[in-house]
Amino acid sequence: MSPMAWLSYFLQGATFVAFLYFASLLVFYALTTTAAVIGMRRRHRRLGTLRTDELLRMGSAPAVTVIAPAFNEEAVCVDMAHSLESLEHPSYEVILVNDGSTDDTVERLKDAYDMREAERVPVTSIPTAPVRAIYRSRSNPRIWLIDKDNGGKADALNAGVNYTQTPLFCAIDADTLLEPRSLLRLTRPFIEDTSTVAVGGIVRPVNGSHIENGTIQDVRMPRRLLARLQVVEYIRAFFIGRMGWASLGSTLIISGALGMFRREDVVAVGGYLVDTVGEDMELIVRLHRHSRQKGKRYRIEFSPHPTAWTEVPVSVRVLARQRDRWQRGLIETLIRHRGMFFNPAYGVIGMFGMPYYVLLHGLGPFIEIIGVTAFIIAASMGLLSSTYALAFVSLAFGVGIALSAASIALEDMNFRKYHRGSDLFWMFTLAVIENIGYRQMVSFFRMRAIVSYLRGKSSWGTMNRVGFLDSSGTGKKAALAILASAMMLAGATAGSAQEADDPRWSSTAAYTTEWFEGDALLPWRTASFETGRSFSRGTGIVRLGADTRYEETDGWAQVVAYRDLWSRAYTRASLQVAPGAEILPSLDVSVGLNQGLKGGWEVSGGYRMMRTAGDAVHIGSGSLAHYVGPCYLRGGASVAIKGGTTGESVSGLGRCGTGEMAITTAGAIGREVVTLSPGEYELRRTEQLSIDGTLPLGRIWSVTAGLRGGRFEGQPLRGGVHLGLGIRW
Amino acid sequence: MNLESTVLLLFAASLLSIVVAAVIMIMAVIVRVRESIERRRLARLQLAWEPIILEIMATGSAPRPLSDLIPAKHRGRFLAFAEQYASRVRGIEKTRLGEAVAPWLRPVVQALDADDPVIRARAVYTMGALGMQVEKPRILSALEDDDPMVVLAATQVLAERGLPMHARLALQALSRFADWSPDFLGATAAKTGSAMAIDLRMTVLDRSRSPRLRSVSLDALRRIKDRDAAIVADTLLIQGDEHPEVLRSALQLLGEFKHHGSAPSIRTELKHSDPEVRAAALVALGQMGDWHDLRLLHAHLSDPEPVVVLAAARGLREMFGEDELRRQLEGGLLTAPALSQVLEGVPA
Repeated sequence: MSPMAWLSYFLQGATFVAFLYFASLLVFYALTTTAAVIGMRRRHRRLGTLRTDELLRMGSAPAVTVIAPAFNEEAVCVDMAHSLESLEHPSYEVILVNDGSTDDTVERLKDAYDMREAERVPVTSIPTAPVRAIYRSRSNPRIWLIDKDNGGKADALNAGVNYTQTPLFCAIDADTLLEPRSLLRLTRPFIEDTSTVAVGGIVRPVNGSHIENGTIQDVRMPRRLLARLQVVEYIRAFFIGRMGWASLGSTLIISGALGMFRREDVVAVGGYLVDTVGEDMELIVRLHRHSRQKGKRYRIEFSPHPTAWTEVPVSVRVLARQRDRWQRGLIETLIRHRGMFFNPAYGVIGMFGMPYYVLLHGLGPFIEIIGVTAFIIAASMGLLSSTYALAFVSLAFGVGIALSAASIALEDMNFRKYHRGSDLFWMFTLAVIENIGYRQMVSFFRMRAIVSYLRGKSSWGTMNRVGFLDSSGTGKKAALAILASAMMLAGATAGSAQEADDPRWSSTAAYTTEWFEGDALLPWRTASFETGRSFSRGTGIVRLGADTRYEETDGWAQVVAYRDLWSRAYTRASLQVAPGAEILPSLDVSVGLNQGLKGGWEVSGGYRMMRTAGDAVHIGSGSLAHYVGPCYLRGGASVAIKGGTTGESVSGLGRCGTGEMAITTAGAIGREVVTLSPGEYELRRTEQLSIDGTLPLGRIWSVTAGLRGGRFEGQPLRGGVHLGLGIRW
Repeated sequence: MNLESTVLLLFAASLLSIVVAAVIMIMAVIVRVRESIERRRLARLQLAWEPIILEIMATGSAPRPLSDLIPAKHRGRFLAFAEQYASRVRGIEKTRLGEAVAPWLRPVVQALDADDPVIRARAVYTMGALGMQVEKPRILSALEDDDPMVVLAATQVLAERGLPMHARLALQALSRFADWSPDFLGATAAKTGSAMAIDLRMTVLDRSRSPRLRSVSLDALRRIKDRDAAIVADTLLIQGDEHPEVLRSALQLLGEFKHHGSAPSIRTELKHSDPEVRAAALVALGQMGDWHDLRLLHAHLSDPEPVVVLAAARGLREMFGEDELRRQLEGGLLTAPALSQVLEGVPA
């Protein structure tokens, strides 16, 4: 079977899997949305009916300890602590746990709360990193600070649990502000059913809101587009996802930013797991597992009323890290508890909850990205009807918009945290535009996280806090990143290898189309995808692609390597194979050497061999380049030999730019080997010119766009566009 | 199905989902606008109704017949507003308000039979605030409702009335809430006030009742400060009640009431196998303030159970008082990490 046939089968299979995945997604979403609407209505009406708050405030609520782990949170820790001072609860205390911060977190808290060293008896002994000192506030004695060696968030939480004396504890993040009533409302399910083990609440982005002394005075939409998109994302995740699954009795995640637990149950399972980045989800799954195995009656609940406000990333880079961590945590948990998967002993959790998370969160990103790519390639190669692809994508968008609109409406009718009419308008607008780029970007981050997990990455990454103020300067980048993602989804891209200075991975999806004057011939199309890795002494790139010319399509694979040799010298080598190709060489090998000289000059020489259907073609080349400020200019000449005939050509290239932002112009004129029809290669006079611009979108994304023009002797003039999307990580 | 049909279906589905999204968005906007208008209108109405309600509570009648002052379409809203006042007052003011709106309560009475438990529970609260005099049997029957929410509403309403007969029924209803937090149930039962004290004491002594209900009853007695309950609690200790939950509540009550006569029984509980019971006994001994127990309390500062250690420290704080304990710590006369921890004020 030819490689093209294999590619065709692969693409058809991938699109079929994507279709199945999407169908399952629709079923799950329909189920969870219905459950969420019913559950929300029931809970909201119940809360508004039963008069329990007064009784709870009078002292019948069980005592609670709020545990807030902090690692390098100097920007937000004091505001967070202030928010904990104004909680409405008759009996609570606060344990702030400094997890070996290297900034001024401890000093800031000590200064703000007049902390003095104090003694406190640990009630349990879950193993943790050593505790250095314990402090207690003189200005508010209910606030304690545990200063310990770094051991990770889970370790810090465990330290807090060890010193918790109350029957309940509430775990929050250090960048979280609690609403005054949140603690009391989290307590409520524990009062209504003593078998309640854990309760989670809603988390919302705080960016843009007006805050005074750790209290939100005025809820506003964030100013940055990326943060605004997360507002809608959080609403959808909590009001449809969490609420829906909670109503179906299958709460598998309680956010680390806001969750209340019965201490004795958490201690019974050994506390938080330290060797995972998804300690919040892992604990919940373990509590389910433990309770089921013991045959114990238990409840793990989600309540839409308690609310925590958290600072969300305002840069694509930080968002990527956050999602990477979340996804790895999820994968770790799913793999660790794989025994629950489709296991009837775990009831709804085993039969529906776990499979949902495995299929739609574990494998989903892969299926989404590969499916979208396969759709684009298959449609561009004519293997799939472009109308069908368009219909499928429009359905995906339509469902995405409907889902977000439903969650926003649910939030607005029940809670209405965003009071301004303009906020509602914005949220609905975002519900539309998030489907064009943002979701694909997040899916990509999640897919990359799965790769990171498989490679054994286990670090947390860092989140640069800006404090509870909306920082500036990244909104445009986010918007451009979204635009870039939209282009990827539309199937319009192109790009080149990124020879990065620092070791990192990069990928580029590219697409080129060239049309002939007067539609004399069918357009030429090239679609390619490449992944490269730069090392300290070189770069390796793997490219896969397909070229369509003269109604024939050839698939190809290429490996390119660059390696430093000695001072200012490097070698390059490439190998391209296209078995059974009709319009491309079946084998294309090249080697070259570049040597830098004094004064910004560089010389290079190279050899290339192409095996075509007829004779082999041998090409020798040489060039001279010069660096002038941010520009690089190169001129060169080459000689091609095919079956005793020779052809000569000259070429020039100019590139100006800094970093990845650059404009490149290239041109060539002379006699080169060209394909005139399938299987027919000849030396012909050619003229070619191209101009490309590359624009970095933050530190991760870059987009390339360009124009092409040229002519082969005996063929009409042709011109085209080249688009690409690059990403580095 | 051929390709054209599939494509057509997909386009139709996507169009449908976009239409659904648009409808949801429009509905949300309409709801928001309507609620905003309604809120403003209600605020204006309430401003006008407030003097009428105050007049009714003060004199028993409105300046003009209520039916003239309140148009029929606003009567439901007026009832809800009146309920807010009625739930905050007792006695003659509550009765006057109830009598004034009595002719309009029929829809609320009908709501007691609604299928939706939320509507039934709300009706119980409204009737409890405004129509208890005329519809008492209906509220009592709500104690037998299938839905716990309605039962709890009826229990709260009856408990707030503070009449012995109601209180007894409310206490019986509480036994249906075995899964609820005992503290919360205790607070609910305590809302009955002293009227229920005898029933609560009898419940405590009745071993056929569940330990949870007996514990809740003790908690309610402690909250309503029923001094005679100390004898009941002491009896439990003497008789050697086997339920730790009941024992803890009894010890808490005895300590809070400083019932010195129970000290020997409380000391016996220091040997109990349940650390929570030992802890409750230590706090109780500290609250009694008998210096003979100082050695006992101090000895338990080295108990293997942290909860007992902390209870011993709390007991010592109760015995010495905050200031004296701080002086003892500063003078080095007492040393234990738990002691400085339990100081409520600024640490030394």
